[in-house]
Amino acid sequence: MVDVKLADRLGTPLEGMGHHPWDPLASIASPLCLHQTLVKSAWVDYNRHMSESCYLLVFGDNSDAFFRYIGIDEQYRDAGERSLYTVETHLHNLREVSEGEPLRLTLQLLDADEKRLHIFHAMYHGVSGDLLATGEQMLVHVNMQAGRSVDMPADLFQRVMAIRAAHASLPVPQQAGHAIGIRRKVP
Amino acid sequence: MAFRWKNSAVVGLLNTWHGKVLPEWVDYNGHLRDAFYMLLFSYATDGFMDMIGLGEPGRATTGHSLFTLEAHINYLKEVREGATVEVCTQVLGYDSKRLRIYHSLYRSDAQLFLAGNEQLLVNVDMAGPFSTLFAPTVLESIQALASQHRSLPSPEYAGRHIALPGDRHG
Repeated sequence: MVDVKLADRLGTPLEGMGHHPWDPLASIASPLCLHQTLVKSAWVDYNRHMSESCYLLVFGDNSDAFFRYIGIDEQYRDAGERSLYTVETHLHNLREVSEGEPLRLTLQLLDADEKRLHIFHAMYHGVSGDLLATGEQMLVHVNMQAGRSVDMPADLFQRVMAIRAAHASLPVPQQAGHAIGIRRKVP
Repeated sequence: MAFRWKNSAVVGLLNTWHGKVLPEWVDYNGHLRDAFYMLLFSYATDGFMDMIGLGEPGRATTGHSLFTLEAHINYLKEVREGATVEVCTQVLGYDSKRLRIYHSLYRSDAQLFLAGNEQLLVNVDMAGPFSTLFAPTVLESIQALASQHRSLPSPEYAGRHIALPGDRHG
């Protein structure tokens, strides 16, 4: 039987695929490289360039890969009514990219506490290596039923802190921590 | 361009987009997905471009378009499938080729503030593409809107950077 709701909406590439068990002995990539894709025809405008909101769609898929890396999947969500919500996003669009071109994503954990994750996505062209766009986000761990933020369970927070430690030596990306403004040259 | 709300916080702003939240925009929970807030804000930028003479005919005449350099979104409330929503837009600043605007997403029935989006846009000559000065008529429209909006309060979430309280990057 076809689930009409599922068929209608756009899922993420990893939806329903669960997560790999965490291996405390495995090394943690800095930054994490968990997602790559080709620019789909559904994502481009009349010019065959990827449209703005689809950059965020790809960053969302990168987040989903990250969630599964740390152990958040459908089962986690359904069992405890907990999930990570995005409360803030800052995008920098640097270069256009066309239909069919390869994208390679990285993810850096800039900071975290028991309830919050401050993450940074970078989107590169899969062949040229050009930086195409960045997405900085603040995510909050919430109890969906209660509609409020809650601490992550200890095992999950421990994984987050392991990633934080692995990423501590990475430089803060140029685009991170930026407020939007028109900067004028001083005459 | 007329704005129909009674809410004093939004009187005088431009109504740049309105519509219903479609089934293909929501997640497993029936809530609007992050990326599709941005889609609505992109539609609102399109609506705004119509108002300043950079709709399809204006783009054809000038050979110019707007490119979003930066976008900052604050998500405040969940939005359910089927909800009727609209976007109000305020001009925050401009120079000879750049424009800073603020979109606010509201639920139409309850006038509930759902999300805000600040954008930095640059005028581009599509022949390049490279950045270029606004066409004179476009600049005039922007100036007129900016002077109308100057007396409005700055949106609560404008000019923010992302940080944890007391963090090291702020």
